[in-house]
Amino acid sequence: MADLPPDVDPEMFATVQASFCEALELDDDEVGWDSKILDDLGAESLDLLDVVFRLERSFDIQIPRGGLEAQAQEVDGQPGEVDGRLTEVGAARLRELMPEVPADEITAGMKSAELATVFRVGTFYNIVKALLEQKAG
Amino acid sequence: MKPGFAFLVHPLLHWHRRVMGVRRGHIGLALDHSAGIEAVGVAGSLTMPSNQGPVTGLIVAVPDTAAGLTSDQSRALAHQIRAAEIAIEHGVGAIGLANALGVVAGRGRFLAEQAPVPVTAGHAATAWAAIEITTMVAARQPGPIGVLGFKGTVGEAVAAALASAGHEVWVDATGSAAVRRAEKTGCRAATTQEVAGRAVVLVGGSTTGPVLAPSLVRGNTVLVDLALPPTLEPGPRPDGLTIVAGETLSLPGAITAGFWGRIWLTMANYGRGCVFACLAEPLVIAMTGESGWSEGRRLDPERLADLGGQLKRLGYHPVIRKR
Repeated sequence: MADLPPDVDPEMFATVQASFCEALELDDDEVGWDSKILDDLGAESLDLLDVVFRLERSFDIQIPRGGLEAQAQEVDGQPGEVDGRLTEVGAARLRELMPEVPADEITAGMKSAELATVFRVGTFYNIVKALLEQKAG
Repeated sequence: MKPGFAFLVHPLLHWHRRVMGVRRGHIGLALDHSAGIEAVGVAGSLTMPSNQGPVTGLIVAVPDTAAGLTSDQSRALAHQIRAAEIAIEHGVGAIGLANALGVVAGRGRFLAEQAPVPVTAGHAATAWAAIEITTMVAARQPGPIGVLGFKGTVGEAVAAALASAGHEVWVDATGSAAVRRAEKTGCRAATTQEVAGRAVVLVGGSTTGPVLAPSLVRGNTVLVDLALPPTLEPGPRPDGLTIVAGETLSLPGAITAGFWGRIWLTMANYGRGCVFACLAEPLVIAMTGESGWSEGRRLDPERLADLGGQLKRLGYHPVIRKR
């Protein structure tokens, strides 16, 4: 299992990891920062709902559905998505929002509905961190 | 007669909210406006037949549709808790969660931690019924079986049981973890398209509604459909396609229900003389005092068989019924 990036709070990550372990009935050593949620952990969409609820309770936050996609719908007045597929600006915006995902996995032409296929455990850590920072003002 | 079990339900469509509002005398709900926890309440009751005597089921409704329940799970849990409190005030011995209520808030696990009676989403009864119905269909139509929704609790249990019984089973498993699970359970991993193209009997166990274009299905396939919304996307269907319900159980007698109980049965799409298996699981808990069949993300095959035996003893049998 790969080490955590240096700027990651191990305690917060452990709580995120625990949410995945409980929802998916996995052991700690199966859930790493880089684990792909759908492919590596074998999650399905309802599992994501379960994980999100556990994170919301653990951190006392509300995670908006489709929040990442919404932030990339329009970028500087240009559409981030056309006919359900990412445009170049949309893909670039999502690469900024999800630095934990290798850049070559988010490309123009990708179906927006398939975005969850690139999500890592680290993606959820970053979502939680951003929401906690927003909450703290 | 004391109610034996409660079934917590939610409106599947917006007009269902209106009907529930009329039943509850709740103006906001009747007008399909937003409604709070005060809108949670009894929607009807019915008396279920069994070989060991009748048992009463209390239908308790929360006001939110599936979209509302999944977008705010804290609110969904609060509504589940209120509905359970109402059910327990009526003396029930078990609680079943219908549709999206069995999906949100940890698939009912957070409610189960707080409720003084067993809570179930009915996955075990659903899986057992689907295994039995698919086995009956496969006996009439031998050949490869495809299972869609393998990553889900019910899909994996159905696929594993069919493979274990010696069937050639193809499952929609494309990620590394899912492929490993498929191999472990004796199934063959493939894409959704490949599964549909190979199967002569197809089990639709996806948890997210339509996942398959009808044009990908072979002619004369039998689709045993568990999904709601259904597995097939809109479009022209192949010749000879038959779709049967995946979790229908016949009853040892007639359901008796008051006006509102009958309305609920109609809205929930229950046919005459049958029920969906998920409704029968809390009934078995109430009748036998045993529970735990649906616990966990992976269902135990022996426990499924045990539950199936209990259902049959009570007079509930899987039946092939066209959808």
